[in-house]
Amino acid sequence: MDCEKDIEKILERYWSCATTLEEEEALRRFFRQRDVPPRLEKYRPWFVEASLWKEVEPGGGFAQRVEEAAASRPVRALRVTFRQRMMPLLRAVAVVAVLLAAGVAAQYSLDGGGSPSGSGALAGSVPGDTQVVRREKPSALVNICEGSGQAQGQVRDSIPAVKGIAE
Amino acid sequence: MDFRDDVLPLKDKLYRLAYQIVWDTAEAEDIAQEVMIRVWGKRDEWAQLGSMEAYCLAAARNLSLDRKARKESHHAVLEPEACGRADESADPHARLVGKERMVLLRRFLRQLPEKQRTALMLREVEEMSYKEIADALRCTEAQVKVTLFRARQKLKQWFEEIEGYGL
Repeated sequence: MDCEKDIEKILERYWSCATTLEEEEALRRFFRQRDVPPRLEKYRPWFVEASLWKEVEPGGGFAQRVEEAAASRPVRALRVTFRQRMMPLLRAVAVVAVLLAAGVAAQYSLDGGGSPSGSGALAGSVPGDTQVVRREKPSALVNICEGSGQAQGQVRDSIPAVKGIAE
Repeated sequence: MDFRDDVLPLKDKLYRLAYQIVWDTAEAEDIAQEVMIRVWGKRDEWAQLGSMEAYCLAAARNLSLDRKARKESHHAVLEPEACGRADESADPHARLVGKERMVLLRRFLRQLPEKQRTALMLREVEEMSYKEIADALRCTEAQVKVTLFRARQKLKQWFEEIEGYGL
């Protein structure tokens, strides 16, 4: 009786597509047996049908026929173009070229951008290289101050000469 | 890779799938054979196929639909004998009613939309998971559940109607 109730519950879930494969197999097993309760008897053909479908197979000798057909099938040669054949080589060349370019760029930046003087470090450095800017900032400021002082002195010295010319 | 080990075991599934679409044993064998030979010819591409079984089932379904569209089969409704035993009820009357119901059920199944029938068959006969059915039908799991739900609801409704007619 409990089994029947369980089956009815599973059956309700079956119609709502909420059953697992195991539960569906249990339903098929239940309906394959001879003593199915009368109220569930109407569903028996469906579950018997599903079981019977499993017995539907191709005719005798089919497997052998297919095997022979597969064996006699000519092997198609793959056509490989020159470009496809060279593709691995081209890829390798491209990788080497990228590595070389990166190496040269790294070497160039380590050598100070190829500038012969040390003062070029600031000019040759990449903008935003804060370490270089911090290191060079004091001397740069001193240079600017000295330069502006010298310029002021030169302007002051040249004023009498300019006045003389004007007069 | 071996044809006998990797491809041939699919023959029954492919045959059954093709058969419930074209309803012709010779045509179904032809389709199953063509799919197996085609997939064997593509053995170099198996790694890209994902599930080979799903690929074969999808190919068999497409081929069956193409053939069916090209030439509608005129074969009679699948008779119970074609699927082996009909019903094993002990009572002759019950057996007769069962046989009658089986014939009606098969007629009903043939009238179902092809996708619903195929989904039902893959679930009930081949006992495939929703994911596997989705792969074979080239749709989502959610769509498979909806398709199966509709098919089972129709089936349930049909059983209620048949009972109402007193069969």
